[in-house]
Amino acid sequence: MALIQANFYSVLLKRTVMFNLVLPVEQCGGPLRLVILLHDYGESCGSFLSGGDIRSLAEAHGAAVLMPNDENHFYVDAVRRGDPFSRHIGKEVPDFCRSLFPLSSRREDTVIAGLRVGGYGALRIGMEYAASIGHIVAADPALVLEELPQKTAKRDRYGLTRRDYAAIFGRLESASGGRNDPLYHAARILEQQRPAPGILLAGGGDSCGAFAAKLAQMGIRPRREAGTVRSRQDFLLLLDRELARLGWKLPVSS
Amino acid sequence: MAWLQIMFQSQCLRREVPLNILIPADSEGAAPGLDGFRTLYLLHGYGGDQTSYLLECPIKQISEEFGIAVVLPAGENDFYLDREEDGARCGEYVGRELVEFTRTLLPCLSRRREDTLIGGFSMGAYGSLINGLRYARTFGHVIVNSTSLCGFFQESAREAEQNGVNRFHINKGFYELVFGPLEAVEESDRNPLTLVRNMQKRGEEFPDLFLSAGYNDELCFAMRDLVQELRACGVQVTYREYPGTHETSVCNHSLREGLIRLFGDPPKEKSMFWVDNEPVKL
Repeated sequence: MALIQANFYSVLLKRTVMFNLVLPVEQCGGPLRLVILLHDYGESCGSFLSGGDIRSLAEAHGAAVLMPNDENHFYVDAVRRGDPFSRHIGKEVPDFCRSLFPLSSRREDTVIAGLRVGGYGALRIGMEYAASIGHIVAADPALVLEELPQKTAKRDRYGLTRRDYAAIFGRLESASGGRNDPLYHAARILEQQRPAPGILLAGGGDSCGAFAAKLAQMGIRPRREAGTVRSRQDFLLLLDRELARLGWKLPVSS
Repeated sequence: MAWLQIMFQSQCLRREVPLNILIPADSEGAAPGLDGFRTLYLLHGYGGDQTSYLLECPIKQISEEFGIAVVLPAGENDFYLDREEDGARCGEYVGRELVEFTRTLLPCLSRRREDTLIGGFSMGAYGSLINGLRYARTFGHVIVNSTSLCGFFQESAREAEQNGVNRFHINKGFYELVFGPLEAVEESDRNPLTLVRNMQKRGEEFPDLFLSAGYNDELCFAMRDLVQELRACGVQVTYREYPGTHETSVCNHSLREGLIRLFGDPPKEKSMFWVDNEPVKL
């Protein structure tokens, strides 16, 4: 088992950034499967390392677990600075890891998963980069786009105010349905007749139910798990069950 | 440039160990050559750890200039030798396990002997010489700057016995633990010359040896003797001396010259800020 903290120069962001990677090197018979794990707003690429047993998850499923750093960008392309964070996390970091480490590039070997804002990020990025991501696990995802025009100076359940959202999304009225809406990318997938990723939506209340219903209307049927995902431990247990359901206990070659 | 800080479970040391790796690649990749990146396993000196070269040498620049991956393990103060007493195989760790692990973790590293280097300064120089010879089938090149040798270990142990501890604050027990009985160290496999003679008996190929020292370093006399004894054995050695004592600036020179000797001068890139200009006094 190897725990790797990497600092590398991102050409997209024009600066040095970091990520963490847990890689079960003892199971490296061939390319390993990959889980991209997205942290919540206000957290970092180190948060999952202290909040749950990532090593056991990686070992149990013979998968590398990649934890990139979102730096409060909400997993979207920052409008003002021009920092393309969704592309950085959905494409640049995974591709860089695949170029260095023994990781599979097949979409069916790649899962993106996140909790709360990370859950939204998993849906947003998983849909846009569906060509290289086969499965999405979104727990209590922050599906806030439709509510953005009603946001106020009061912190919402994700800890953000209207000003925070404006800094992230620009015009709040036009965020829903735009490039930062997972449904926008779902529509592109269907339009171009590409395979849609499998989706597990867990918790998330009414907004999540409405999102699932819209996807279903379009013809993409997510799996739903009711109840709340209270903690990172809960989330990792959910992810563990989902990876087992996908048959990830078996090596890639079989 | 990618800097990897790694913890991994070592079988040889029976515990989790830290290491650093520098890979001269960014998110647009790099040209690692047909067979992958050349790799330098660089061993730190006494009192150091896996961060020593990062903090004390321009090792990132060296990695980028020469397009070479650099692996920086932690050797504690164990002289990179297998230890009888507690079974910690510190030599096998850097000579075999570390190479296997890094090649598994990073398929972009070359597997070829001529692309695989081991080197170091002081205790790391000793470790790279001993393990470069012991694992000569893995390492094609050894770059050694100022290694301590058997005579120095014996003398330091005597000094420790007389005074309780020697000038390095080391007691005699330490030397016996690491090197075994000191009266037998010359004949043991802790002496690089013993390893050389054994290799010659077995008809084994030597790695390319580049040895160096600062000429104000007291260890340089033993280095000179070693070079002559190696040559008397018929082993080819390149030897250089630099101004300076037992210090990292000398190690830098040595490392750079050792790499230039093997791979030629690195390409020089002109700064984006370059302007032809003269200084003024204000």
